[in-house]
Amino acid sequence: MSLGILLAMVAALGWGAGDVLVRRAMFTVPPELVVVFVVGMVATVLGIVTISTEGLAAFGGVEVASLGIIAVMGALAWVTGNLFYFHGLRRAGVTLAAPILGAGPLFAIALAVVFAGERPNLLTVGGAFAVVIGVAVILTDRNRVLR
Amino acid sequence: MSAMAGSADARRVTIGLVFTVLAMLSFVTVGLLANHLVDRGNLPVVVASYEALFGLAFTLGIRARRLRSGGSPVGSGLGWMLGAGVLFAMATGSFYTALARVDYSVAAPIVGAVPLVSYVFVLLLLRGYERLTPRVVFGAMLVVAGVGIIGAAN
Repeated sequence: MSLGILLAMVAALGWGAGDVLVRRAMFTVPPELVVVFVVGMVATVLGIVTISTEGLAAFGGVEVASLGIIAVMGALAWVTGNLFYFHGLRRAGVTLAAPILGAGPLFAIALAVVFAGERPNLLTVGGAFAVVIGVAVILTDRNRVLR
Repeated sequence: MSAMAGSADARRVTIGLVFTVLAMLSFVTVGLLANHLVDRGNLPVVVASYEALFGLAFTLGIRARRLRSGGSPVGSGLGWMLGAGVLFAMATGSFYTALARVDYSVAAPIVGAVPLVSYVFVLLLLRGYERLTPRVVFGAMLVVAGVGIIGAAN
């Protein structure tokens, strides 16, 4: 197994477990405060990892244009991304919200079709059909969230 | 009376799902942008660090007024939030590093397995708060399988 695939699996583990911890935190703390604490923690941990592995100078090696893109990413990931997701978790629960988020690659394929003019093959269409059916199965069963 | 409560619950869940769909669209866009940046030679951990710093600035800006007015008690939620922060940092750093080594179309479907990981932790940490019915597990497995097929096909 390649290191890239192993790292993607570690990412799935981190996000999957982290979502449940966030949901648990939101029993007593509002989503807006949770997102500030969590992003603060993420910035601290990643900052320490970056400085210890690449050195402080690594922060200076990013072009201004790239910084602009990263700023957009920061807004998308933490405002319209995690802040909205935490509100979604609080209202719909992890069991409903997590599979919706997991269907993201389906949207990525749709973007590739609409904007890049790609033509999906039969296997891709079959996978997309499975995702849509799976999401429909989950959405029609709303009685699991107890709190 | 119970019909009204049921209707309110359905509305709450529907609003939650709308928020989640918007978040999903945002995350997919972030993933594509991150892939673009690391493909251009930017260090994945540096991209992830800057993204978190910008995210902190934006969320603090949104929250600033309430923080100045005293804010909400954090109480027993602190430990959960710190744990989530460490896990999200690990996930973001790992995913962006993965994007530097494999294509987005390979890495993204693997992250599609997040619901199954969440379900294991729901059983451990949210027992009594959320139920895992066979129907939901079946639906999540269909999503994961579908995303896996899309990944294999691309």
